Amino acid sequence: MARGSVYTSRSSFLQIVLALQWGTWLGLAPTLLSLQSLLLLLSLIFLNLPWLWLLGAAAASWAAASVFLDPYLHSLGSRLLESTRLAPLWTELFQWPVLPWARFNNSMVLGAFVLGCLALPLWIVLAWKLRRTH
Amino acid sequence: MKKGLIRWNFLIPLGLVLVLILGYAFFFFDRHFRAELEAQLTEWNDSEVNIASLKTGWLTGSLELKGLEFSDPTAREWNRLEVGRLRLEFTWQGLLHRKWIIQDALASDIKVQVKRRFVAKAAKRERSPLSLMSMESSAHIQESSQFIERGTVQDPFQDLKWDATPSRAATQGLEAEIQAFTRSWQGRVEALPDTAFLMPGEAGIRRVKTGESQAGPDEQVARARLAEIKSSMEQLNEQSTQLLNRIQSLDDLVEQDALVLRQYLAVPSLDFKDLAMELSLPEAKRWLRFVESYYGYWREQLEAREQVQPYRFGRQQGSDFRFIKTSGDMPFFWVKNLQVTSTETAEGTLGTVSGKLSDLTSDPALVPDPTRFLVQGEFKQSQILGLVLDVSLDHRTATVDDRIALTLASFPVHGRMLTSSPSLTLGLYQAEGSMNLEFIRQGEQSNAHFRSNFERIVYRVESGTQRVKDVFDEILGPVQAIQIDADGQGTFPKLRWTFASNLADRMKEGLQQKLGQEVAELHAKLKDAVLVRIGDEKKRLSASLIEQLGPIRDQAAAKEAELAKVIAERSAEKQKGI
Repeated sequence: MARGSVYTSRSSFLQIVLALQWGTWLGLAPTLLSLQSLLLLLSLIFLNLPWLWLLGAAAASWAAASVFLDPYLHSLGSRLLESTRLAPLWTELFQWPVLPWARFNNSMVLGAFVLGCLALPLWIVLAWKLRRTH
Repeated sequence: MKKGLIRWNFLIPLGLVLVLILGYAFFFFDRHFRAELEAQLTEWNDSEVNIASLKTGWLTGSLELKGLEFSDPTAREWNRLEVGRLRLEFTWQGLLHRKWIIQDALASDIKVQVKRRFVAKAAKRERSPLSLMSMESSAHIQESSQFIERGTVQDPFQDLKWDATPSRAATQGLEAEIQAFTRSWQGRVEALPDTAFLMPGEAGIRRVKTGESQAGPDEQVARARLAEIKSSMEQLNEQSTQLLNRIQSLDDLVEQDALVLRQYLAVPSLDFKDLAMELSLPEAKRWLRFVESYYGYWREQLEAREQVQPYRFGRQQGSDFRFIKTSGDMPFFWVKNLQVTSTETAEGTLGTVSGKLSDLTSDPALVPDPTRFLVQGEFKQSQILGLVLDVSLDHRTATVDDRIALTLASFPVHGRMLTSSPSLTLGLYQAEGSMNLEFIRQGEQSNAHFRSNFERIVYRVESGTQRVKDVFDEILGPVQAIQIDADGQGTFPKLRWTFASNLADRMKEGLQQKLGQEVAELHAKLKDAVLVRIGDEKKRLSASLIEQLGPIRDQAAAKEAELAKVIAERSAEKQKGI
């Protein structure tokens, strides 16, 4: 969406941010058979999110992951899971009920989720600029 | 109108989604799960596994399988094992932690060796080569039967490769040498002096041609030249005699030739050193597959879990990490207790089986006791009696201690092949068998012992040649009971196997007796054939040498005669002068 063009969406700043974030998480996730992916999908029933932003972010993230990001997702996840300082945290977290279904012990699932989190500031800035301009 | 973040009218989409989820769970999930489970079990079994029905108990956390059929990888038209009903009850505590903990399970209505409705498919997975399964059998019996068969219909020497013999190489060398020898002597004889060096001189006195010796009167020169020719001729004779002697010495290569040619005779090796393996391997493979394949697969899975898997490229891949608490943690998979029970009925092929499997797990270090599986059974309808399977797998510490013992007191044998080739089909048409298998792995060291016995045997000996049939009928006649032993030692799965069998001993003795004389006669005939062939070669080479030396000798003799004549003339002239 080029700057200066007429942006006619009636979505709020928060809706755009969440749509981009949800799309990023769903697109990067290597599998939808995980707790957080199912929760994200389920939450779409309750949340009014702009589909264009959501599907655009999901498609772009999925394509980026498939083409070149996957090894980096694995690398990021592996570093976090192999970290000796974080090991007690992971050990404790994996004892919690339900949480293991998130499959954060998989390097790619964790890497994708963390990279999705890291993208959040970018989406905030993007959404803020869009709302301020229009 | 601007929409808020929360969709307050979510009931309709929520209902729709719930209907879809429930619809899938009730109508499709079991079908998909069954297909996936069949695929996984097929991989483990190395041959097709079928499940007639699968029912997931969503509220009870249970799984019920009916008509579980494990086909036999060695005979795919048969099911090795059928479990009529298998019920697994998972614990909710485990499921909440994404752990598959089966508190209680029941396997009932057990059948073994049941004919399948259709031939099973093989598993697609390539297993790592197992030492016994990848062993290739020798072909002593096949070679022997073919030898007997050939002796009645074929010329045994038709496939001999004479060009490969040492005498052939030596003959070719001699041929080249004769060529070089005669060429060389041809040149030398041509260069020998003749009377041309004598020129007519004044008053009948001949003088030495310019450029030739000035040593004295021509008679002296002629005598010297004559002596030179004689000396050369002596050399020629001496060397040609040597060459002829070497041609004669081709006889020394008869033994070597015969030895080389024996390999083309297709004569069976009478030491029969691998005969025990050849006869034991099919039977040993049939039963030891149980250890090498099933145990091997389980061990591979277990050891793979102890390591972080390398990254594989592609979506839905990555590596799974494990974070285990030193105490109180649950294993990923754990069958705490599985009861096996089955009662024979009058009309069916059900067996009377009772047994218990306990503590089968993917993480032995988290379980207090080793895996135990003890089952006993009898299948009277199938005439399989005294089945005892006792398995103990202890991987709780770094020093592995696994023990597997399988005993079958009696089982029927129908149409079991020992060896099969176009010239001979040899096997057991009917017999009563018993077997005992023990496998122990402690640390890295593994030992396996397998023994199989057959009694009340009706042999199956079929051949298109009556003589082959007669020979094997006669050899097998006294063998009323067969015992097969296989011992393996080493690091699993690369065990070093040794085999022994009374059938192999008898077969060895009988075949050595039957074939020994024929093989010796054939070897003698071969030696005679070699002698004849070398004799022909000798004649040919000698004739060739003599033939080529003829003109050379004639030329030298002519020169000699001419010189002698000149000398005689000169002597006569001198005498006249005196």
